Amino acid sequence: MARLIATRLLTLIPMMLIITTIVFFLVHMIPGDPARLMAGGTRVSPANLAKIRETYNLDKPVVTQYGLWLSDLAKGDLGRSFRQRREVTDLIVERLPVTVKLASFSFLLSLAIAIPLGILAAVKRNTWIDLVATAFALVGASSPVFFTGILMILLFSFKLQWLPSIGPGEGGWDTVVHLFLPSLALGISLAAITTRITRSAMVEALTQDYIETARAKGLSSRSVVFKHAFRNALVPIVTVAGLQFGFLLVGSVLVEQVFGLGGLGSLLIEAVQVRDYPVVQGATVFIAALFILINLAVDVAYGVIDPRVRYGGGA
Amino acid sequence: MSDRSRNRDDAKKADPGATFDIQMAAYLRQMRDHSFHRRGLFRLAAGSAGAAALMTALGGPAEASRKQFLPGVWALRQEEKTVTFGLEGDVRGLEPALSYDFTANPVVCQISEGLLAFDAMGELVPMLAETWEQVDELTYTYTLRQGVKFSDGSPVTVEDVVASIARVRDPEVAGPLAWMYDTPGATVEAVDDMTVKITLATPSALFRYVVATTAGHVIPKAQIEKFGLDLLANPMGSGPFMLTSWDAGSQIALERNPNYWQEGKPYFDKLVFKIVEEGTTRVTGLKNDELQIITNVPPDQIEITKGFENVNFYAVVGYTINGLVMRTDQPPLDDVNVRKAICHAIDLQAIMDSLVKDTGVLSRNTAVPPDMPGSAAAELEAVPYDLAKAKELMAASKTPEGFKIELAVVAPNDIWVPQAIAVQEALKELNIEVEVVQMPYADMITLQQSGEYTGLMSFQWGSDFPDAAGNLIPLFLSSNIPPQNNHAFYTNPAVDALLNDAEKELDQETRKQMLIDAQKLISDDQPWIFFEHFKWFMPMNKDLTGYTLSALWYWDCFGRDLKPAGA
Amino acid sequence: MTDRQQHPVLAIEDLRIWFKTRAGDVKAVDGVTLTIAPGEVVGLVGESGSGKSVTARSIMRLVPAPPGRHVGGAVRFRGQDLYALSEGEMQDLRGGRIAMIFQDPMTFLNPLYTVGDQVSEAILRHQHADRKKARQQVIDLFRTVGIPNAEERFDAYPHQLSGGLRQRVMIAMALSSRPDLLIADEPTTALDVTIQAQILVLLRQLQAETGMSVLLITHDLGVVAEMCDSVAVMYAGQIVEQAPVEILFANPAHPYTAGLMAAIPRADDPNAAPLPIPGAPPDMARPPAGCRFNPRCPWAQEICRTDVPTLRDIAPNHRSACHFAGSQVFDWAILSALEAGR
Repeated sequence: MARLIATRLLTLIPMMLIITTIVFFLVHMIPGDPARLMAGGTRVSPANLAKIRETYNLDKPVVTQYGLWLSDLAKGDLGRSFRQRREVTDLIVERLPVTVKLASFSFLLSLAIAIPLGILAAVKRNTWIDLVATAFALVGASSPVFFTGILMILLFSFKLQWLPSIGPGEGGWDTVVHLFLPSLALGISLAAITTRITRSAMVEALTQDYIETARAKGLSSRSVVFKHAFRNALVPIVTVAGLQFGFLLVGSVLVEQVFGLGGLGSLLIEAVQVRDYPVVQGATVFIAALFILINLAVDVAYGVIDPRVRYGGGA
Repeated sequence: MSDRSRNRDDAKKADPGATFDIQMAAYLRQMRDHSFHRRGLFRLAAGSAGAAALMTALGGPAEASRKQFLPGVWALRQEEKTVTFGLEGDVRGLEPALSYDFTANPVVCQISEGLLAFDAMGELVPMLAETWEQVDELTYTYTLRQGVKFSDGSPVTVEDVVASIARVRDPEVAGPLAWMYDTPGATVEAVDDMTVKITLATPSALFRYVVATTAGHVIPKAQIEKFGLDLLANPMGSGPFMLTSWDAGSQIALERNPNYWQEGKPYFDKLVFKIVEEGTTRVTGLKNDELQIITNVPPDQIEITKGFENVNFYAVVGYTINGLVMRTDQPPLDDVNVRKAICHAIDLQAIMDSLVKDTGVLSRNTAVPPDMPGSAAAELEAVPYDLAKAKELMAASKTPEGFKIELAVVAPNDIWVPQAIAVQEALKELNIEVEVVQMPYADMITLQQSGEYTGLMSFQWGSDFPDAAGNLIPLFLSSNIPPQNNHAFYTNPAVDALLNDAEKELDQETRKQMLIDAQKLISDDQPWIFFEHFKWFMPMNKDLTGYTLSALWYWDCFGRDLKPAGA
Repeated sequence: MTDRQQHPVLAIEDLRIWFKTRAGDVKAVDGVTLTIAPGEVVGLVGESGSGKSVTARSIMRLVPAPPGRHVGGAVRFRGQDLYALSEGEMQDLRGGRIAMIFQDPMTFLNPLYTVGDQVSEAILRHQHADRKKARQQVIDLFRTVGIPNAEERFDAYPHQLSGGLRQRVMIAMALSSRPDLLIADEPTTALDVTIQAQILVLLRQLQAETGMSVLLITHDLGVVAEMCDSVAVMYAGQIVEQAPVEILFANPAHPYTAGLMAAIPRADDPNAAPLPIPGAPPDMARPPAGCRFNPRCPWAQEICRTDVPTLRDIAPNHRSACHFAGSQVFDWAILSALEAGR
């Protein structure tokens, strides 16, 4: 187990290097002049433009720029945003709490919806309950999340006026109230996939032989489903859930924009639109690292769930 | 003939006082395009029939109760004396030198103030300068009001004025407003403890307005020196509010300035700006009282918003123009007969009625709206729809058999794209095959700056200043061809002469006549298809009063005058 | 009949369990009658597809309810019709007074829990015990079934044990609440030959110690010969012959049984080729009319194709479902066939 964690952490660095290299060169290939965009407007004096390029190393060859950036990165310096002149690290740290709260809340909501629904669909498979659950999964997966988000706003804010639709709130309970709709919108999109995985993993588990043994012992249905089947179904569920959480960090950008939350997703997307290279690179490095750590957590979770992984191999 | 290769410095010298509003207008356009563009991203859900229909179905206008949620938001806000404003996008920085768009301006203008300001009619009124004078065609003096303090209690002095203007022009800052001083070659000096003198190298009739924009805001020299490039996160000024907190990407909170120099103002203790990029969400927030003021209402939700019980829907025609530019320097559009034929073949009124509707007023074949000082609208009229005449003109042209051209337009957009398509349809009658090329905003900018578009191009413009020259010079002066904003590549020496002379003319009446004459010449040459002067909207909660929406609202300090209705 | 036989532990009476499929009803168990006396070891033999596994599972009502369904007949455990009980009452019996062990202990044990945990589960379910007491009980059980290092093995996972040990765990699990009846579905089929022998020995030993009845399902006549007191032969969803083991081997009274005997390789004459029964088991959705074995029976007569034979006594404790069973000519024919095969 410890060895597993150590190996994974070691792969962190080369993987991040590869990712950030790709992103760096991709971003620099998009047409558009960051110096001009930074100056903001079509009419800047050539002297000013040249000054900007010089200050931000935009006049040097791309490979040199990459090298400079990399050496800063090694010192832990993510650079300064072109657009806002502030440290990229500060920008990320400021926006992180909202993203983490939104991602966590959405994640929990999606699990709270998907797992019971998936288990129900599996246990009552091929009945109308299964049909409804699967239909829900299909609709949820097909609806674009910003559409779901706007629908939520129109229903709960506009019509019923039960919930606010703007911003992350002032903290504590107020934040929970404000994040509920966006988390629900995101949660429903995610829940769709998790429901299907849960269902198929549970169906798979319920057809295993050891379920028959459990029944033959006289255990109640509840015990059979939740203790014996569910734990076996967890491995695929955890895999998918882990991937989704990683997706949430950036994929929540559409929800962030609809609900006026200022998170990492919006930061990254807007930075790409205005060619704010340092922010794009810095945020990508950060998110890549987070993603790798999440995957590590998923692997560790496997170890916790399945002793065959922990103790290596079967007899 | 336009000479694209002419170097910019030559351009500056040869065209005195040219290009004031270029930056602002371009930036305004950028930001408006950007928010339209972004809004367009969600068009599928929110645009056209979508959200609007849903909103109506869910009970738009008829909603009688102001049911609040836990607890009543606006009621709470009123107790706390807080007003919440819905910004249409993120704010990059809060110092005036960087403030040149629809999101930074509303915030910055509450924190700092300029030497002068605009009143509701666009007239200059004193602000931090108690009196001012244009001594001669190159010299302006401003006398500082005494006893005004910044929010930290330190006094506003002439050194601060000089430092603030230097900051706007500072190449390190690379702000978008530098050209307002740089183009006429301004020199700024403190004459004594109370007076600032600005001397221009070339005369400019529009320069008088510069100090009423954010380019004229006064901030503490000490603050500039203390924070340097981080000033954009640490603003300070003499305005009615000061910065309390800035939650990046989500909200900016201001509180009243205890040292504000105007007695009894502001009324409210707090002003909160929430960043809400999605139009539907802004509108919903307004209905819910989560927001009390918003800007940029999606066109399809205008009717619904007007119907809200708790809202006054303020609108004003801007100093704006939306239209299609035509490349007057290249065949086939270099023939004025062709251009006029095209205009006669388009039913502008029908476009107004079905596409533009209430979001603008029909242009009378000029880029200058009727209420803008120096407008020729009273003496002109929109090109009438006359298919017979159009065909006649085509027959008399150099290309009677018709031709094929492109029309570049930013997409998605709920108004401009349908307009482009309407034109495409209309021109079929003249055997003109129009290929509509839709492109994202960033590509349009590239196209415009490169000057490589052919045929027609959808283009929008708004002036920084309350003067016809603010639209005419950037768009029709021959030296302002791309990368500047004369996208029609229009060249008329007579027009150039009128515009240049108007820059130097001190007598306002003479000047106005020159601008009117220029518009008439331009109208005869028909370098554009002029659609509408689009409006600005600012729906506001009915409980608020004190501020009147003006065409130059983006320079206004509305927070100063806002108060509850009946207070 | 002896007194024990008059009060059987298990009496299956004309049980029918059918499965609904797209091809129609598959009549997997179609009129099974079987009795097990207290302390008796009964073998249930047949080919794959004969319905013996379904029969075994239908005793404890473990057959999944769609698609399977109980069409007729009764299963009496100590006189009580199990099909009249509620699911809750059934759950009390399962693992308690009736227990079952299965064929492949690798797939029949949950890989994510320790073996000790899984056996404790059975104890905690049926007895008033706390975890500590249950743990001790499990360790004792492990010793009883011959698992060395019982204390350490409590915390082992199934994949860490050999096949033989896993089967012992299964047995421990089944025996934990001292059942009156143990159903063993092919308990040695998945094991190595040497381990098979050990497990059989163990089962015999435990049966002798506890006096429980055992229903041993198998396709292996050798196992039957070693373990069972009496045997029931199953073909195409029905019992075709039932007799004490020596009598069955000496005097088979049904052509199918004879066929099975002839198909066994003989230890005393390795060179003699085993004679497989010609033909194949019938399609259980559309079984043959009359005697189901008639298409493959060398002595089939007209009556066999039209009349369904009933399972009847042809001698004390010897029943056969053949029209001709009991007649001397028939006995003689079968014996000759067997001799010829030898």
